[in-house]
Amino acid sequence: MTGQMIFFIIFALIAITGAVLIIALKRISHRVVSMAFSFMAVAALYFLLGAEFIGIIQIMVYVGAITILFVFGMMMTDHRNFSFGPDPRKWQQALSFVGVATLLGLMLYGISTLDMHESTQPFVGSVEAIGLELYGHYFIAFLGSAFLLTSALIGAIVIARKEAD
Amino acid sequence: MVPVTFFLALAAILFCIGLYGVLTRRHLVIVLVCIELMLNSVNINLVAFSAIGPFANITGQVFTLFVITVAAAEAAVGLAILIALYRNRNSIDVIKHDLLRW
Amino acid sequence: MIQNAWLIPVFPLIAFLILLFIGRFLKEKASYVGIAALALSFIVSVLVLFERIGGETYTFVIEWITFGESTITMGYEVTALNAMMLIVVTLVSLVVHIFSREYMHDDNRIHVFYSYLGLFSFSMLGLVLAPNVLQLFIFWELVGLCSFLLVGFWYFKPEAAAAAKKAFLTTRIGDVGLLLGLVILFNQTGSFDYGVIYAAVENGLINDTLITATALLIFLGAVGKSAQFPLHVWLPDAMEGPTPVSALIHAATMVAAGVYLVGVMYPLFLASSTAMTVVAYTGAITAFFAATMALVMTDIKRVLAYSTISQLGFMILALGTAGYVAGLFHLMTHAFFKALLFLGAGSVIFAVHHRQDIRDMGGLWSKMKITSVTFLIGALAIAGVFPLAGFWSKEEILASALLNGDGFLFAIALITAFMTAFYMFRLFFKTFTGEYRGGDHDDPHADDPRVDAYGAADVAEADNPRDESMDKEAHVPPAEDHGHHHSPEENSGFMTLPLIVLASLAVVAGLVNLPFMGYPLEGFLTEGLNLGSQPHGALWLAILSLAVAGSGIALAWAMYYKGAIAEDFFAKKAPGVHNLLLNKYYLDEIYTAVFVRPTVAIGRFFWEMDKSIVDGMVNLIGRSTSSTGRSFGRRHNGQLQTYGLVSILGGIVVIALAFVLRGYFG
Repeated sequence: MTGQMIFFIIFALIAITGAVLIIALKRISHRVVSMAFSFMAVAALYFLLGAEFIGIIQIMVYVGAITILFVFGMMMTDHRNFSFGPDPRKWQQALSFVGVATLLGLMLYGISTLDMHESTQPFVGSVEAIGLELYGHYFIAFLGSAFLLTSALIGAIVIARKEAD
Repeated sequence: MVPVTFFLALAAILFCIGLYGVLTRRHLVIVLVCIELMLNSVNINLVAFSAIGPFANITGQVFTLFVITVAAAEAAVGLAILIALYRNRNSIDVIKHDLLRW
Repeated sequence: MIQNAWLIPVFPLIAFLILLFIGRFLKEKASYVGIAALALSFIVSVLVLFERIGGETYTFVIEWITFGESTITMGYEVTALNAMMLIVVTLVSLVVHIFSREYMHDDNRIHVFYSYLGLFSFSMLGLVLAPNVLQLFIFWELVGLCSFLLVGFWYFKPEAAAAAKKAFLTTRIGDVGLLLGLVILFNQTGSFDYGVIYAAVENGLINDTLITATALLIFLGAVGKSAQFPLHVWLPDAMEGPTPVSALIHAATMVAAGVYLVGVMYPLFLASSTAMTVVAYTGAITAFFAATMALVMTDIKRVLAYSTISQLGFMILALGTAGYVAGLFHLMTHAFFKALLFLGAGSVIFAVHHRQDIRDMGGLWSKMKITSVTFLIGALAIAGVFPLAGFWSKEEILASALLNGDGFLFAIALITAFMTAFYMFRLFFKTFTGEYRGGDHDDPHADDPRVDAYGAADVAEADNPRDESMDKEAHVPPAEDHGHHHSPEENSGFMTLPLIVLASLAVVAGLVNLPFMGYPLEGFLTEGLNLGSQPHGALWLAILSLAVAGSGIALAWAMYYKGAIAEDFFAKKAPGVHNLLLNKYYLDEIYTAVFVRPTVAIGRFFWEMDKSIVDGMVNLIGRSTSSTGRSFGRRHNGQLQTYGLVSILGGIVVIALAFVLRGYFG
């Protein structure tokens, strides 16, 4: 077993545990923290794959910005009253579990039967390559995402501000 | 070298956990978090193929950037909606927000 | 003038159209429109007849439809037979129009009545003038429609509505036969024209079986229209219509159309001895049975109705025994005296405030001189007393039955002649002699629906019966304008004039075929036709028929005038037979049990089937759709996560299917 494999298993386990804890924990603040851990593990996996730039962006955006955003969202709503009482939708939970498990089973089976000739050396995507691609071939899409972010910013402000004025 | 299928399997597991959370959690914030988780699992796939896939190239990483962009925008707008909703109906319980019906 | 024979049906048609559009403004004056139209028609008919007597058959046709090698024509034709029929129809129609002027004048729908009469006259004249069988069939159906409309004229009386329906449906059976016959004829000859059909029959272009079948099918039409056994049941019920209608349609003209049809298609019948035998026996049986029923009826109009059926049976019998002229001669004389009798009965009914039961009449001789005398003339004529019209025609029928038929037919004809004399004079004596029995009724209209309409108002307005206030009541049939307790008296000239005209015709109509003058009518009718020699009776036959008529009259006199024999003598002797006759041989009941009930049962069965199975299926689909929708609607509960779950499950199913069926992922 190579060292890479060991690291992969460690980070994968952290990511999965964090994801499960998001669902399983009771306190909303604990859940957000476990989300940060999960995202961090994913970032580590990016590094493992040689995609350093993406890994850094992942840490900055997800672990940094989005987690803070969720913390704010949590704070501005009712974060103390974390239990809503008994869930009236027992059958729905069960059905969801069965359905999602089936989906997972299907996907895992499909993945396990995949047979592809993968390259032995990882392709290292440098920041330069990404920049050339982004400002060259995907320039229009890049501008589009800029517009998207701007409009999301304005939209979020418009939606979230008080309606009194 | 870790085979690409391992990453795919991890992504599938994370995706399903996120999906299950979206379908069953009652706290709106957690629903949003789970959506982020699903987007993340997609990113894992993209990066894995970009790095060690059969036709490894940079495009996968570029798309990951776009996905992160969209996810950030979605998180911002989603939280704004959540706050407006909470202000108007004084609850973030998904079950209580059932106006979208016959 | 003969070229303008088409004018004859056109005048009533114009009257019909005028009354249809502006009749409601004319009200009572509508009658003058009808009378004028029929008078013009009558004048033209007389001119046409005179021209035809000295001249040739005139035919005018235009092409109507051409398909393949066949051409259907329309037009008109004046033969000897229909020249005679034109006179009969226009004359009877004219006098009925005049008569109705008085009889119907209190009815708010008098203009409708006259428009129907106009339409009927048009149809009947069109039927007579038709140069081919198809056109005849069209008008044949039209007269049936008019009969339906006029029988049901007082449609708010349930009996009248039922009678109209019955008349229409019963004749329909015959009409289907007629139509089938026409189809076969057209199939065989490729034409509807009389001339072509005659030629085809004479030249043997149609095989014998088909001729017999066609003749019998066409005869079925005649059976329905002329109320022959076993389709006679509609005619007595049709007496629910106004009495002038009974006189015009159900005595003189429309019911005679069946006889006319047989006359027109006579070469066809002559070519098939089977058909002739069937015709003869149908006529004889009808004549006999109808006469027996007429013996016991107490409704004045029903006696006359059965008498009509019986006399039509005579005509059919004559035609069936090769007595072409005898049958048609009787058709003409019968039209006159039966119209006379019906109008006389109408006059009586009008005078005694719309009662029809002869047990409530009597003693009218001194009160209604003209009606009584004309009715007596009519009764004598139908009984066959020398020298009235009926004597000559009936004697010829007897001769025909004797010479060309067998002993059975002759015996039946003779017995029927006896019964005819008896029931007519029973009717006469009961109605016109003895004491008036109708005066002491408190409410003679107990079962008359018209009283409900304005029986109360009647007393107050007895002095001024034509008050405008009556017109407010829609669709009120004639009510008496004499008040309730007046004794009957003679009616005005509008009613008596037609009686006098018809009575004189009933006296003299027989003269057109006098043996001493060489049978002029026979010469006229058979000219140019190859019908063989016509049977003529010897002197002893005339004396025999006279004796039979005389004995019938004498028996009626003894029973109902003199009282030498108790009125219920025969009824007591044979109560079973009496009951059987009173109930019309239970034919209505039998038809109800055998045809109507099963038909209704089948109909109800299919109705139930339609309701439960067909409708059930449709309802099931509809209900399952809506319940599915409702149940899905309830699932639509606004829970976002439920929606998400459902769509994810659907996606999983799709993926699983793709996986299983197409082997994706590997």
